[in-house]
Amino acid sequence: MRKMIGIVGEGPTDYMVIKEVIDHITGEANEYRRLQPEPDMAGRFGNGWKGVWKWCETNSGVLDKVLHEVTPQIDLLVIQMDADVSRKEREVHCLCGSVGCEAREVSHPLRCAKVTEGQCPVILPCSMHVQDAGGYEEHLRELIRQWLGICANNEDVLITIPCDSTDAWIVAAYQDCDDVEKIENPWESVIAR
Amino acid sequence: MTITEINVKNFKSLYDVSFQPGKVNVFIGANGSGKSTILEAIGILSAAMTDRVNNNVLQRKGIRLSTSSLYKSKFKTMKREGLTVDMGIQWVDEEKYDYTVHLTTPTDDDAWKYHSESVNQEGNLLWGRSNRSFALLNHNIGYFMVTETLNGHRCRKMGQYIEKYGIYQPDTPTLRGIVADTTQVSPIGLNGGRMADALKEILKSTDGDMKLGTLYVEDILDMIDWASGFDITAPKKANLNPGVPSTRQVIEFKDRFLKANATFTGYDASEGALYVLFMLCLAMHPESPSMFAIDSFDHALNPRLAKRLTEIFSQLMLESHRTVFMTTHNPLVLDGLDLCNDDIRLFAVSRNKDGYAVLNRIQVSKELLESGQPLSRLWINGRLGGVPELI
Ligand SMILES: [Zn+2]
Repeated sequence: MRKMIGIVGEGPTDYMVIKEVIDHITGEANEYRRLQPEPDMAGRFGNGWKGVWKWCETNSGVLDKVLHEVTPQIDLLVIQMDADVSRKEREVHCLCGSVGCEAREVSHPLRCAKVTEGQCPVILPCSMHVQDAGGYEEHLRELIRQWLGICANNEDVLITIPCDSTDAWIVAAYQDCDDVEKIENPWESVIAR
Repeated sequence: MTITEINVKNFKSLYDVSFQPGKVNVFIGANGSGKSTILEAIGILSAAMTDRVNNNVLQRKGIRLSTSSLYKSKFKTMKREGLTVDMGIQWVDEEKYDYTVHLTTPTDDDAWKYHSESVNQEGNLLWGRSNRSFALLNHNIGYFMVTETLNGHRCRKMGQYIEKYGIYQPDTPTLRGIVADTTQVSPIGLNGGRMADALKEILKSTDGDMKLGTLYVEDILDMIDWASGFDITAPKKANLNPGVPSTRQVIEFKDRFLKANATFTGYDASEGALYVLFMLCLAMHPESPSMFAIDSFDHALNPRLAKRLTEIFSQLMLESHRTVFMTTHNPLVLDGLDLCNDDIRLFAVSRNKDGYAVLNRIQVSKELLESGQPLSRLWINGRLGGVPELI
């Protein structure tokens, strides 16, 4: 049966790819809503991984209402964030606590002055996770659940963490190798090859 | 009398669309989604049901003229092109009625031809025609309002209700009285012509208070912060540059920051003020249509004004038992809609994969609206649909 699917993702390309993938898997022309936070006054956080973060936090208290108390209802919410965010961005490791930082208690990682000043003490790769595709994925998946305030068994929400990014999926589709989604840093190992 | 459904088939992007309108109906959608086409389809329905469909009638109703072939839906995925443009309306007036018309688009002249036309009461045929059975009828003319069979019948009330339907799209030069309204319609033109005269007709002094229709002028001026009063007069040299062409009457505003005897006309007044007066006049003039449309309700309104005017306008529509269909791009207009009232309805228009327009009625729980998620935000964030997807 056709479903109404909400997608919170990093950008327009991710949205297009995810739509096509879902239609292909379900064999249906589903209906979609691209959900995005409004950018702040400076035009920030309207898209990209920061936008996904902001959307999740803004909607955490009202998620159930936003999905089910607007018609047409959303049957499934898909949240996408690229795995390379875990590999590359210090902010998402702020709360891992691998290093001490006095700003942690007072600043939101997205608005922390230490980050903009290049003073964030987080060391990459973060020692709290397994350093492979599965590790990045697990880290971000858990983080998104925290932002949204949902548990792992929530059936309304599907979190998808493409490795390394949705763009890499497309290339993978043309490659003839096994477990392509588990290849670390596909830019070098698949695409550049 | 309550309209329960309107359906359209094979008209432009409306391949097969039906919806259940309320009294105040707002359509949102990206450019090219088909929201203005819905206003046009209702116009064709009203023309077909109560008169005839040709360029002259369409123009009078504010419908963009296309070449004949563009009126019909054309999609790659269509197995074959439909022969007729089909429209229908259902309503309840103690009993259930429906009217359906099938039209063929013009070929040699500008007249749309009636392929068939019928009206049912409780599902039973009251009257009908088709171009096979009634060869003697003029195929260019609708017979619903003229056939003797229906004389004095209650179903004619719907014809009278939608007869004067037009799509209003006021523009500033016309509102200012410096450009003539080419779509002159009584009591007020589709582009805003004749506004000063129409306002004068509903401006009255009761017990020392000025009222415009049912509203105190004082309250209207609260919306237009800078004005302390307005009046309708014949143009005088003192308040109008003689180089400005003008209509017989002009709207004269008093600015609360200028000295008492300083007045100026609609020519100088801010767009927002003129626009507010236009909407209120349309909503309250006894001769304005009982059913009409407004394309881009947000035109020239600042955010605060957009919300407030939407609230007042909706209220006036409900009080006067009118029906309005309007489009908007302004999120703040939505915040003026009381969606908890079932007579006020919001629809999102979008195109599906095949390019067909799809309409969804949007309902939102009171709890969600009150938890810091007003309609404007839900719309901007994409939850309501009716936004371009790829920005
Ligand atoms: Zn970490």
